[in-house]
Amino acid sequence: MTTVPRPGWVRLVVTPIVVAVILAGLYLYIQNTPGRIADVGVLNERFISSRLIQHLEISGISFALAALVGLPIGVLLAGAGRVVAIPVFLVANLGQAVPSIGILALGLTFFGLGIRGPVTALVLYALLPILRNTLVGVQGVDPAAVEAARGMGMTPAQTLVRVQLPLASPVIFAGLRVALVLVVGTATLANFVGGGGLGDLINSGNLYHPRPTLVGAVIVSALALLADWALGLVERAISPRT
Amino acid sequence: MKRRKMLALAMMGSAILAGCGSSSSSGTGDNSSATCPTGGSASSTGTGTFKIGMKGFAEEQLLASMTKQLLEKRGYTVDATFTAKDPALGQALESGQIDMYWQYTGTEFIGPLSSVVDKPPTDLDQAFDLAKQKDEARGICWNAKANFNDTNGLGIKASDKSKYGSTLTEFAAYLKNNPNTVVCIQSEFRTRADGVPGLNATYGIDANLPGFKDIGGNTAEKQIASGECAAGEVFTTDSGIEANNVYVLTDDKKLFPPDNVGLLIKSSVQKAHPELGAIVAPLAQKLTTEKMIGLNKQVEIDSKKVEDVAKAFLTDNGFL
Repeated sequence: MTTVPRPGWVRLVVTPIVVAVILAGLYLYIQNTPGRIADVGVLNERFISSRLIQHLEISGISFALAALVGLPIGVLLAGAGRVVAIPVFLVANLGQAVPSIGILALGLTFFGLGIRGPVTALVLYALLPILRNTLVGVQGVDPAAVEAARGMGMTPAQTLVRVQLPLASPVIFAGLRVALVLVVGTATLANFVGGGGLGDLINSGNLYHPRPTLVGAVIVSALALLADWALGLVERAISPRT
Repeated sequence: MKRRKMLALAMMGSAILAGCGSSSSSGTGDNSSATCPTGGSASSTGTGTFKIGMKGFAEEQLLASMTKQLLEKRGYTVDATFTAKDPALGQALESGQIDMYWQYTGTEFIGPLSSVVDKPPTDLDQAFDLAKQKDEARGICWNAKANFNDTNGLGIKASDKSKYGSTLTEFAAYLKNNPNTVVCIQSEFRTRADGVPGLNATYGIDANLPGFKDIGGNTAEKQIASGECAAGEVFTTDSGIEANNVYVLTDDKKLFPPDNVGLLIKSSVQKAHPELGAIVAPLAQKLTTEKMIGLNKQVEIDSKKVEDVAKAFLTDNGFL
């Protein structure tokens, strides 16, 4: 079985450094760019930190729900036949293919203003990569390893937890990381339905005074990089050494 | 620096386009200015192909459609399909992708003219004339001042007047004691000079009010009606105001600049066709605030087709 190379320590150190450099550069740029008076209403610590917290909430809840739904279903589907898998993936593919902003617009009628609409849209959006990678990861485990585990007297549940999932973890984590980055970036759309988050900052700028847009976009990018990096740390901690 | 470069480009474009233009009424009329000559009359006809740009909402689509149908009646060929948001639309005009579009004076003042005009006049006519004068220097001509005022405002449920007051001053006093009141705004409103910073400077409303809620690019009539927003940003010609029983708080200290509409035509096109303004002006005169609300309502609430509503209005007023 081919193994996905483990992230080396260099990568683990480089990401935070890169993010720090980007944020420092942004800070210097803002300090040295003649601003428009109107900017200060949003380019202040209070506004940005409140939107950052909202953003973390929206993306955190959405990602957690998507993982809670996607991981078990992915594992179950790996054991089930294609008859079951095909309709499930039809739904998951739809969730990914339908533009999130469309789901948000529809959701406005059902959920009203707030974060419930965006969270629903984001869960549907993040489901596919988690589901697909869990299924592929578990199915890709060498049958010989499963045979050996069963031969040693492990129950199917033990085999799953102690053999299949650890061996599938690089692929599963790859899916989780894709989903997380998607969620952190797309959570900016919550702005359109009163959900808050860093989209408020991005949308409060325009081409005539682009500073809020730039600051918001850079912070979201930094957040996505850091989230991916943090999940990499988790992966490193719980994946088997090879 | 950037502006100068764009102007140079616009001038180059105008030199090229001026060569291709054809007009039946060139040479007639009182050419009062070299950049934006005017001429012809309301009944002028001519030939030529134009592209009209518009923003993606009912009022702009109606204006573009009416202009297209009127000009086609007078012999011109018109394409009215180009849709874009604000800074992009202005850039499309400067670069020659479109020949004309309907613009709001207030939008022009907080946009491309914000670097040359600090405080736009609060009088409708003065605002229009100043925008006209400043844009002419950039090779862009204002024509056909419309008779309606589509400006910003804060709306509340009509039945809440006793609670919040009927003027912005009274509402500001209410907010002081109830800072968690939900006021729904478009995100852009936070950084507009006539948005949250203006409410703060003119009415003393705290710019960091915890109740301010961003709702993307939509106006808030529906959420005001449903009670999700106690108050919210609206535009004064929105059909949703009447349909949802929304009351627009009186701007008693005149914060929101008047937002008149006019047809922006690129200088090169105006030079080749100085009669366009005269043809469209009578139509613009007919468009009062009440009429515009009614037209918007037919599209937004009665779901009629923009072309049909525009055509019916033109026919009823004897333009077709």
